[in-house]
Amino acid sequence: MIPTHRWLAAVAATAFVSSAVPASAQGVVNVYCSVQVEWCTLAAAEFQKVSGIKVSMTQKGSGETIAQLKAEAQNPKGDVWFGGTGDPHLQAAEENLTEVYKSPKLAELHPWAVKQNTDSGGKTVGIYAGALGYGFNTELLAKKKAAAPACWADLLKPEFKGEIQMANPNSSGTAYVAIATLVQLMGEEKAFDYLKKLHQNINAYTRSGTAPMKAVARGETSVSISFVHDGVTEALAGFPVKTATPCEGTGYEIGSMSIVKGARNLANAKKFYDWALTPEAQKLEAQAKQFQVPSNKATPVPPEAPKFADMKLIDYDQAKYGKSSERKRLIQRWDTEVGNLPKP
Amino acid sequence: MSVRFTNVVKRYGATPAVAGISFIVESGTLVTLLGPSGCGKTTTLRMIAGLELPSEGRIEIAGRDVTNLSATERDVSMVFQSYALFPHMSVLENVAYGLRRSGVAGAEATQRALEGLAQVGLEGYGQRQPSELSGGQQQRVAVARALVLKPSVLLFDEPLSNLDARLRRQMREEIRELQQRLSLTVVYVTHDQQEAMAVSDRIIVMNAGRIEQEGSPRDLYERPATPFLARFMGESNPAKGQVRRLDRARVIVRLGSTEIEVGDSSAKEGAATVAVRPEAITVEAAPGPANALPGTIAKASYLGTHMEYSIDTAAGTLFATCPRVERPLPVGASVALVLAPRGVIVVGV
Amino acid sequence: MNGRAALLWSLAGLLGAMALPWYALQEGLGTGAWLSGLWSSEDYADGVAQMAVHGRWWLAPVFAALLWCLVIAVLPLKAERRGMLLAGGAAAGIVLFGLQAFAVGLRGWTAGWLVALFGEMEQHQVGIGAGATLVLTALLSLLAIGLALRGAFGGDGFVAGAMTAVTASILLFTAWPILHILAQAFQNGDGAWQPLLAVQRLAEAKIWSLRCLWGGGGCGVFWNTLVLALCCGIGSTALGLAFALIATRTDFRFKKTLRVLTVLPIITPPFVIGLALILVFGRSGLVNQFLDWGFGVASTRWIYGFPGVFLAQLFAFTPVAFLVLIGVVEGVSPTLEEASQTLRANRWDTFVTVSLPLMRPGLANAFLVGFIESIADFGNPIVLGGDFGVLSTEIYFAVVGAQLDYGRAAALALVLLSLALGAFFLQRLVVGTRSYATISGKGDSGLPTPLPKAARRAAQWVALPWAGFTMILYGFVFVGGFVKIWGRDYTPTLGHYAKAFAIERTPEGLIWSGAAWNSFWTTVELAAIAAPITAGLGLLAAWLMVRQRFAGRGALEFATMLSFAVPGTVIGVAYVFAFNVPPLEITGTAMIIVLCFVFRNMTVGLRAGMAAMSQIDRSLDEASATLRGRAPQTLFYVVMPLLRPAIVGALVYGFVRAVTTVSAVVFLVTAEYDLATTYIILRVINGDYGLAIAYSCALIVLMLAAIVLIQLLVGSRRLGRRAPLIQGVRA
Repeated sequence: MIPTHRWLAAVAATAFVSSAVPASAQGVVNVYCSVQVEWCTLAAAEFQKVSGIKVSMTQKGSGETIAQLKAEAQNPKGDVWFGGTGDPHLQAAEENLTEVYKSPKLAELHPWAVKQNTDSGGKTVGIYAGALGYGFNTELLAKKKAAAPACWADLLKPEFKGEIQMANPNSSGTAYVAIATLVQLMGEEKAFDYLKKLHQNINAYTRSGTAPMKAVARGETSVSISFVHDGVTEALAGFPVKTATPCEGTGYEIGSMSIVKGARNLANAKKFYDWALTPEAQKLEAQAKQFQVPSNKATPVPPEAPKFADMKLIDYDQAKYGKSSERKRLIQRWDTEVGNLPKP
Repeated sequence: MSVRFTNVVKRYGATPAVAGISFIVESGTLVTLLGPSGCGKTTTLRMIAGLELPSEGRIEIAGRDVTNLSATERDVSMVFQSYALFPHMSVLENVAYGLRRSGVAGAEATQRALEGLAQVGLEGYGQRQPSELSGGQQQRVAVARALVLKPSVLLFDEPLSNLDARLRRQMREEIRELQQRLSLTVVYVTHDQQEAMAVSDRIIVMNAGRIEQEGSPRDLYERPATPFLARFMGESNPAKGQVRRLDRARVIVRLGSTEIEVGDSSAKEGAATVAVRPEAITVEAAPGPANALPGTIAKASYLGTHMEYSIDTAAGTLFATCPRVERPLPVGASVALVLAPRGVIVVGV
Repeated sequence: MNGRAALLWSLAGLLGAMALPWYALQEGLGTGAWLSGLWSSEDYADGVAQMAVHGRWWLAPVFAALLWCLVIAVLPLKAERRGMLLAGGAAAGIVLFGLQAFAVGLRGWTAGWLVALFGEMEQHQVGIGAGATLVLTALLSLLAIGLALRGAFGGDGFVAGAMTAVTASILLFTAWPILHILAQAFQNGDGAWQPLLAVQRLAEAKIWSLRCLWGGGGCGVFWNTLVLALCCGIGSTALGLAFALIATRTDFRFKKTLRVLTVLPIITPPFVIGLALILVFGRSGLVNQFLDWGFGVASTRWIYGFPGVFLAQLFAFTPVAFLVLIGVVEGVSPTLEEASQTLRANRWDTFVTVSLPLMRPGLANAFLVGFIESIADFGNPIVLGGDFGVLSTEIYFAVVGAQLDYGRAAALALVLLSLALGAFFLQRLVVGTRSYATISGKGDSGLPTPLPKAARRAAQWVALPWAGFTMILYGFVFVGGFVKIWGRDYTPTLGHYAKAFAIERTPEGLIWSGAAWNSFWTTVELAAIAAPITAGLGLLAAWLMVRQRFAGRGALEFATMLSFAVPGTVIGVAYVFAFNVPPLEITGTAMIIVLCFVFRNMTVGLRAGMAAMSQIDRSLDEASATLRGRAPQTLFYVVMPLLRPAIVGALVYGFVRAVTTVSAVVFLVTAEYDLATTYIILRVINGDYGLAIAYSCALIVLMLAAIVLIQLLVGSRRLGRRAPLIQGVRA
């Protein structure tokens, strides 16, 4: 009977060995990173260089990260959540998954970034912002001889019938930003009338928020409702993509950062947090070929990036539309009034 | 004494396969467990081997309580109905397997395995694969494999059932010869009454999970205790008769119009079930001697060595064998039956 | 003598309680720093010190149980009595261990009623460490020894130990996490029990709506899933049958190529087929562009939605159906077919009335596999689904999407699970208990009847274009790694491979500077650890289930089915929920990833093992036992050599699945233990298809190499028989 027991002992042995985590002199900080992977790696390497603190960086989408934070709530494993659209950060703040922290760097930030901090009761802060707009495939439009859409109203034109993609707000934060923007821009009733009309031109509500822009890039659809900086990335990759922001005005996401409640390395988490708000840290974004607007006023903005100055931005009420209850209500309404309509 | 069962019960779920049996196997003897399929004989054998553990009761082997010991820890080995030769090993590896597992070193194990093969007459077959051997040869390998361990009990589970009739007779003689030469203690399971009688020192007949009767082959054949046994141990004609006691050792059995004096010390007077062995009936042309049982031939078959008749009589239809083949009696012929006392057995009421 | 093993294990348990840190250490055991603090330091103290010095009184009963076992082991007792006392003591110890571990957590008492009962607790405890693990292992072993001494499991200590280990691990790593997460369907967001909520969640129109039938929008995800799975099950079975017939009943020349083609989709990382389909059939794909250019046919988006997902799933699962069916087709006895022909049936009648019905268990099994794979599939619906939602994507977005509603995810998982189980029982019903055994050990001398002409033509017309199509698709994928932008700029480049797998030669030696190396080696390492454990545990469990009679066998089998049928996302989240908090705190380690691989993929090894085992005559095991072969020796010398094909299958599957799994491990990977598939997914999300494709191709090569290596290591079965020993194919 010895062999079973030996086997059990081996399993037990793996148990201790694998729970080993190497320690470093300055300690470690565990970062959940919800921006693009190049940016994540750059940030990790750079922070490690300047601080001597070992960065353990795990890249995951913002949806997956908040799901993980929630699952880990009793015994958090992460310290900082870096990047990802603002709504889940606000939601995390609301669900008490994140920690209050007032960084000394707040003063250097754009007002929208600070507002994110005050809206959440100090639990999150803006690190970049990206405007909502359209992406379109220039080749397809040329073939259809259609003019590029410039306004929300353009999207209702008959030549775009079956040519537009947006994400499904049930699964995508991007789509929710679009609906909230329209509601703030037009008022709720008109916004839903608009969405119902728009429905006639939509070919699919994708599950993921970034999918419509990719479909545009690959010529699977002519127009997408997306964040415009995603379009820049596709264009740089060699696809015939251009972007526009609506003439009536548009909303935006605030990419945010939060400290995890019960972080094991709180001091290091704060160091990372402060560092991430500096221009030195924020210019890494452009190096990683990402083109959102950085939150520190002093950060140089790359020429390719869509400039907020050129757009008409609405005063997006993150506090109201970031609340779970409001979100649930709007999504439910979209579901029953728009999502369920028959396809043309 | 080599094996002792004391009130052993084996249940599967609620149904008992073996319903409380006790018996002893003396060392150096060959004891057969005999019975129809489903009677519990194989379960009993597997309980000796340790392949099944009893639900109740106690099992001893060579004086040691082995009731809850696994097969490996008991000093027994077994020859399986399917031989169970390991198909991925050579004949020699098969025979040496048990020795290697008991910790015998390689060279010695090979030496003893070769001796084992010689004992069953398979010198030179060591390097073959089991699949290259005939059925009888595979059987001998299985025996050699069990023998080389020198177990205190050797078990056979219907070892001859996969062989043809001619080979079966030869193999059973070989097994008996081997057992006597090496004075092995053997427990042997079969459902074939002839095979059991040919090889056994003692036979334990089982039925429905119980021991029906045990004794020497002759005891069982000549003095079966129940109608089941009379039917199972060789062929017999069940007939209704009347018993009248003559003295302590003898009775008169009346069947139809005939009366036979039979040695019997236990039968009660009155109506009784009587078993009549077919070979104890002599068929004569009518009218025959006085005290013969008159009858009419209903069926007749010619089998080369003997004739078989079905005969309608006042005591029922009797089945008889008759060695006289040169003048067969036709169907419908009137005959007189003479019954030999040794083939007339009172088996109960 | 019957107490020796018990004595050793009692001592080992006490050693665990007195010489090793009780709780898990942040830095691991390797540093040795704990040696000096074994008594005094609260972090490093052993169990007895935790109890005596650091006020953790609740550990005392566990040690008492250990001491009891030690005493029982030394006392001169009869085997049966010792067994009973030992088993009782050890079982009590295990229960006490579990109670204290779950009752006292990171912040003291874990439940309100415990606080009410005992008052507020100052103390807390973290995850169990080396000491506690050893104590638990010892208690489990003592339980097994006790049961064996009482005569359970044929009185065999090894079998009892294996049984205990398998049962305990399946309960711990499959049943518990899954039930834990399914229970969320009945809880609100704060964890309070509200059974009505489950009814509400299950009754949602989004699941059950049938509006699509009368033109009012989309149908519920349940119907989408069901229809897709039915089509996929039927389609892959039909195609698989066509391939199997061609491979066995015709003189088709490229059978080897056919075999390779059938293996490819199995070892293809997820998403790759979906992407390739878009590039071929998408609106701007090759086919549409050609039609547009040649005939002016306007491009359409038909590939998105049901047709695309269905096509991709057919691609992915037909090979599995083929592998299931080929054995069955080969197993149909030629004698029976010849008998039919002598009874005045022509070839076609024979095929329809004899051959096909004899394949029924195989067809039902292939259908079941296609059905279950389809409902658990996540990659294809997410890439090609468009509007078309199925349960698995809906569950994923219930967890990670804007809703963040675990309760809804759990409710949907319940629906999905009942679909899988429904199919499972239906299959049982169809196959029934009838015997379809047509090959026995006696050897069958007839010649396989060639297919009737009509059937052969049909099979070829379906299968050959399909095979050609597969080759085109894979050729296209292969090219994708070597061009600048897949689907757009076909300038040849090695850039993607260089980016992923560059090795630089510097004065300090080789630097693995490619971006993919880290995740690549982690994947290889973890898959190589997981595969043998997966195969070993699966086959051990199969051996126990086929060869041992024990109560609860059905329940155990069902538990192993659970993790197979539940979609990966649910498993992943379930693991985080169950193993992020004490007593078993292993999130963020490599171990949790390996465990996830093992217990998710074990089912297939188990099934293959059970099928193979039931073909091996039980008396071979028994012969070995009566020849002094102890159970482990029997397993090693007799069973394993005969099971080689099943071992190869289980190892290959364990490895391949570990390399290609995504959804289950998304929540388990960390910076330190990143996996190839999660890396690939991120590249795909970034639109960096070239790198993703290059990496996928490298993985395909890796898996092919692994398969060859496994074949070489395990070797083939040497039976020395002329006819195969298959006693009928059980479903």
